[in-house]
Amino acid sequence: MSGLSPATLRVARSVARTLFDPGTGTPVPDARLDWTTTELADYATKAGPRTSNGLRLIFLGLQLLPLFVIGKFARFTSLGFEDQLRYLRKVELSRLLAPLLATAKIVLSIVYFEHPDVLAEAGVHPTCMLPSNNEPIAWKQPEVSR
Amino acid sequence: MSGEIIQGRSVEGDLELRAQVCIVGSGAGGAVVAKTLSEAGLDVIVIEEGGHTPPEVYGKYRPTETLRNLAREGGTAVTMALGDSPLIAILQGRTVGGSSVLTGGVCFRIPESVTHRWATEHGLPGFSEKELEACYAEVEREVHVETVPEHMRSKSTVLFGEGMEKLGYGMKPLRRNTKGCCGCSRCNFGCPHQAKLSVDLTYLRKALQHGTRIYADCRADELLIENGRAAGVVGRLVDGPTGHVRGKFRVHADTVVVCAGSLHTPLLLMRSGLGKRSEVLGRRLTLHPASRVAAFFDTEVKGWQGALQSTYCDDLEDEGITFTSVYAPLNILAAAVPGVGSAHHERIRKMGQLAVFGVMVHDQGGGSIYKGFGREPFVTYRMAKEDKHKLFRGVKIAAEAFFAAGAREVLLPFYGFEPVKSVDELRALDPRTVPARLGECAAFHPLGSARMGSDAYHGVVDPNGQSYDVEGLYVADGSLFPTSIGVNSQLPIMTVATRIAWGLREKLASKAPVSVAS
Repeated sequence: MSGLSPATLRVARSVARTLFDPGTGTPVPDARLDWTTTELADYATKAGPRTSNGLRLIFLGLQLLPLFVIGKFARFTSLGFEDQLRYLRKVELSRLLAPLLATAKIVLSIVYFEHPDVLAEAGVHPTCMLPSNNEPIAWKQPEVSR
Repeated sequence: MSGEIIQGRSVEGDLELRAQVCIVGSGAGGAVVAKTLSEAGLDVIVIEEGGHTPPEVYGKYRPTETLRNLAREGGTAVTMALGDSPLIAILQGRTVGGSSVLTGGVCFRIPESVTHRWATEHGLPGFSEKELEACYAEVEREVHVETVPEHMRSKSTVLFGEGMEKLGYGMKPLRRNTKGCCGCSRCNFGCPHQAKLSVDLTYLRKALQHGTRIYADCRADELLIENGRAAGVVGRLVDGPTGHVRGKFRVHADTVVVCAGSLHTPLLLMRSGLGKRSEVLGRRLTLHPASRVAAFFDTEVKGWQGALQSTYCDDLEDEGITFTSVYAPLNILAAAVPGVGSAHHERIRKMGQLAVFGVMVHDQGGGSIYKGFGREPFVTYRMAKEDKHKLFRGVKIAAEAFFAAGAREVLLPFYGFEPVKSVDELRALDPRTVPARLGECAAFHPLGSARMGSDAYHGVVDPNGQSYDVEGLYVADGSLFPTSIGVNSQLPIMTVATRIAWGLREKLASKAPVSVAS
């Protein structure tokens, strides 16, 4: 079956909110998380059932493992924000579980960092990722004939 | 007579088609065969599983839109690791033009050491550079292979080169199939300026001009074989990226050329009951496992400004290690930036100071392909011990080069490892503490799963690409390479496909119909 269930998308949204939190006290805007979730759902559907099933398993793993990583008997989405941060940090540095978070981070990052507001915050002009004939090219070189 | 591209998603009902030649796959190999044979007046049909997205459309895609619409499994196909081996992501195109739409455009000829081995160890003479010169020349002319000029090297590439020189290694310029490249580093996601001359812009356009019909959204399921002879292909019409089936097709042709790529060509042959005499169908897949090393500098780098790939170092070619410049759109790079929360955010804010370079291993070939449960194959890979050492050594050298160039922090491609902040810390890293399964690897050059051989036991096809099992059946893609080649495979695939196509042309052209294309 292609696509992600609402439950999986809820976990993904929660992981994204924690992963990409800037640490400034202002959380990631809900609209940006909604956009990320929608894009992720579309991506998983188009990537096919094997990818969708893999992502379901990965987010299920992240949802259920806090007990074994930080000793909290709770699902990831039920943890407080600080515990979520602590949990993901430990997973990232675990030689056993790091690939789990790495995969989640890859799929979340590639959609999240396409949001134009996010690029602007990173100080990058969207031209490098969204070039069009109407925008300046990123690199100037001598004119070449086609 | 002009050909056309027909999209299966727009077809009502089933398709029953006839041609002299049916080619499965419209990538580097298939496009070459289509153009060559249709120019000779043959009636050619190309069957392509992916959809047709014009370059003016994919040139405006965001990177994930490209992955969703043009890449197989959204770019997430991975090998199943056996033993202490990394998971290896394999990027393949699934679109008219195949993987050539998604390559960095790098063009190398097959090294003489490799073709010498083919001749002496595999009984396959005739592939030396001199013997293939006419084929190389034609391909290089058709796709406009040129050396990347020095002024197009990104600062990321320049910094790495400076570091390598301090370590005593030399960098060389790369050649790519480009014309008018402006250096926006988007090659892997579809060139926005039609400057990277993938086969949809070159060979396929000429094939269409000579009457080739390309059927997109058509997934080949099985080859038709009658009395030991190729008789055509059957499959399904699919509805765009979701792959939902909407009908069937049958192509009647007494010459079939399979160019579905190293993961799907053996699958199609297996599903058609072939390869039973050979020990190698679906085996000995080589991947050129590659990793990236990234480094933060205190100065602005803006690595996306410049040609995506412009230099390489082959000083360690004898050890099977190559360093190749590379970059990626920021959303792709952000995925590899370590840290959670504020630690990640701090590094993201400094992406303009990030440099990246690639390490590639000329591998022994530990991959195998099996029929999966759905439409995709199940691919396993066991990395040879020597290849693990090569990867680790290559990564360490690349990291040291970045420190030599002044990097303040280097991100190693090993899951669970913190960035290193000094060359002493790097040198203290013991390979025994870095299992290969924690390596972050990708592969862009799968080869060898339906290889050429001097007989039916050691090969699936003969040196002319003809199947040992079925008359009139050929293979003309990367799957027929008998070994890994240690360099980017696009140009070699097109060159060997040219050799096969010229042979086929000679054999078949006398049977061409009277009315030929203009």
